[in-house]
Amino acid sequence: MPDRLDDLLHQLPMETMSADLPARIQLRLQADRSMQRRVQLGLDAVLAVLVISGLLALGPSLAGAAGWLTGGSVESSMAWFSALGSAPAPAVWQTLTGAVDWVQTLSDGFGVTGLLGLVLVAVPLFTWLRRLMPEEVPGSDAGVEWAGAMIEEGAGA
Amino acid sequence: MTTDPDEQDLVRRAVEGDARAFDRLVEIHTPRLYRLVRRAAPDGAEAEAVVQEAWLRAWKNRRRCAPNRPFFPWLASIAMNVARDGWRKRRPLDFADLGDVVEEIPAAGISAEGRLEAAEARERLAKYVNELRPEWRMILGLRYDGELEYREIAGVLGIPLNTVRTHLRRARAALRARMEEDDAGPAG
Repeated sequence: MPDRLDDLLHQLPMETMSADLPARIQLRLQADRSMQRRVQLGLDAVLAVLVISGLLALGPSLAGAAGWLTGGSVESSMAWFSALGSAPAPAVWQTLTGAVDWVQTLSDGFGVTGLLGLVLVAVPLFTWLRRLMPEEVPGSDAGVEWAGAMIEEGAGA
Repeated sequence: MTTDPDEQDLVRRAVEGDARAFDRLVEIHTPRLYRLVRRAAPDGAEAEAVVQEAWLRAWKNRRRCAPNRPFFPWLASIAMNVARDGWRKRRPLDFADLGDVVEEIPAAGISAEGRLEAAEARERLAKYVNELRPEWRMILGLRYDGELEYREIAGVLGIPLNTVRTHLRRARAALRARMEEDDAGPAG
């Protein structure tokens, strides 16, 4: 219930803030933003170097894998489908054995350098991808706890 | 507290990273934010530092702001966190000690204030507010300078609504007592 003390508290004298405070805050924000941009640019440059290094390391391994991958043809696919129709079990078994051989060949061909290359490419790509995603769901964090309290308490102030 | 559609649009743009929209919010809300921070801060320089830091944190965490809700309580909660971080180092703030207990403190009359000139009464009251515990000053600032509702204050400070009521009641009772004591005693 409002009373005289309430009224006085609403009108308490207050030293005024420096007139240029908003401008100073805006300048600090500007400096902070340009610093953020520089950091971002530097990070992007480092990530780009990592991707290039990764691709160079992956190169020989990828060349081998590409050779294996392009080995197939329409004729061999047709032959596989007709084999699947006439004798499904051996065709499936042969396919599985082939897949295991392919994985073996790939991992042998990749070696440490190939794996390192994969990591060097994957980490920057993941970082860039993450940047595209929203950082937080708005209104779900401690910064807006008041919103939760408002909901909990309803209109009963 | 309602949300002005123009401000809602500004906040939405600011959340999306529009620096000009955010700068406009700085112009709009800094005076009010300063008033409530200054009420609890020991001096103007510290209040300005808290306000600056609060805006920087608000920009960094802008994606956490919900544009469909009033902006000022969110900003005030950041400012109070900044202020508490600083003041905790000197003396721990004591919001928790009251728990949910709601204490009925009889509202003492303020007949003495009726005999004072309004300006003089306000000056004296401001002096007494400065002598209160920091957590009471903080709540008074949020209530009277920030013009927040009780439930918003509870949210900003992360304390139960009843604790806000109790703190405000106690702070006001202390102020009334000081005013009466001053009035009863020798002048000066």
